[in-house]
Amino acid sequence: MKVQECIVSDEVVRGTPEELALWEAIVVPPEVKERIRNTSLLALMLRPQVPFVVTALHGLSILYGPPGTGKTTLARGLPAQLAPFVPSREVRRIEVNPHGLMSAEHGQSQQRVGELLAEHVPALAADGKPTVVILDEVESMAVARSEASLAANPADVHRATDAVLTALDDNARRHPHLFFVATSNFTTALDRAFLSRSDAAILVPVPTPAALREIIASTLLALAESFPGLREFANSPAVDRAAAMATGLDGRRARKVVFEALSRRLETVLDPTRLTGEDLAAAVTDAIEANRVGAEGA
Amino acid sequence: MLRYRAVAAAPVRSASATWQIITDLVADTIAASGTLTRSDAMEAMAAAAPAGRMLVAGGHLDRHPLTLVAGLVHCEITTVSGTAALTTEENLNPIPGAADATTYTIYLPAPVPLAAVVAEAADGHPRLSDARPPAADDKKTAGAGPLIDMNAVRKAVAGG
Repeated sequence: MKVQECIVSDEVVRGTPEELALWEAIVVPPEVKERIRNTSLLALMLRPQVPFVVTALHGLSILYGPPGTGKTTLARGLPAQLAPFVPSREVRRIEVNPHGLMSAEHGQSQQRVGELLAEHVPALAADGKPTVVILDEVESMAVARSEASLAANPADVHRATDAVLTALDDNARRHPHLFFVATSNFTTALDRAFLSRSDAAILVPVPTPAALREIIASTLLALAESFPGLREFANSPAVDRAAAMATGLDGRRARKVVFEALSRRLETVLDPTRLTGEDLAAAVTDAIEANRVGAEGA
Repeated sequence: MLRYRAVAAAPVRSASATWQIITDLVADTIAASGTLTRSDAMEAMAAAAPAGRMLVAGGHLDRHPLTLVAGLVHCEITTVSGTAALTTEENLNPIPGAADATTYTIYLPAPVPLAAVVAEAADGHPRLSDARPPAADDKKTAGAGPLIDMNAVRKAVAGG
């Protein structure tokens, strides 16, 4: 894979309803979203004005938490949240697939990481427009050097992580319009020096029962656009009961529960408005059980 | 953006092979431009080849870089000779930043013993120069104005 192919998207985003919907679709405590937005706003405001030696702001946020909690979607939605606060009302979004950077060839991972972060990304953002760079599942490129397995290639792991750190330091000083958002399911796998460079490490938690109810209901209401009979069900006590049972599920799994419930019977596949509270409860039970088995296997 | 590329020369490659690698690197970089062509860059490098091979063979490119300036690209290309060439890690991927370039110049180093040869080569193609390259514009890329509209932030705060 060529280095430039690891950039999976490069687009200029405005605060359009479609872009704003990304952020709104994720149900997390409002303070989590505020913190993500405000950290990036503050960095973009201060870094061009105040020397790096004073702020030590690298322009890096880490969103961490269990899988399925919406970290990546929040990162993708951030540019649209920033756009209203930018003079041009436009923010660039660059999304990187770090997995593609790692190479089995000795020394190549380091070179590729450095080339991408220190050359390609600044070149794409060379017009100075505020830019959010998303490093999804960053643990693949900023591996904790203290945990590097001798069975792998420890020298390469060290050097690739070094390259990330060097590029972050370089970009912090020279490109204050770049703001990196890294997501990770495994903060313990991240290098400590990488973590210390983050301006904020923000936990995106599993949803509370109230949030689970909102997620399930909003999924049903979205389906009700096509199947209006589901609207009443979305506001019924059956959804409250299902949400109460669903404690521990992540947001993505909670959303899928609705479709798992629909797929339990051919009647509901044919006509989703025939969905019952029993279908939903059974789907939640199955999802909780799958979660338990998965946790034991991990 | 100031970039660097190092190419392994002798004993890893002959002077001709090393010059060919540099030629491909320059041409591949220029090929990213929407208006410039790879073939034009190949022609320019071909015109510089007699001097280029001598610069490589004499080890001059180890100390005096060939500089490519094209749009946002400002890249110093050097060679590595001797035992260091055996272990040097090359990055021969095109240098990013030439996408919007509408013109480019290849600055050939002109060390004293080869100054006349380099000058003659530079006269052979309009994209070549034996002058000293301009300083790289390596300052911050976001220095033109504030990134955040403070009035918009104030309005958001006032609006709750």
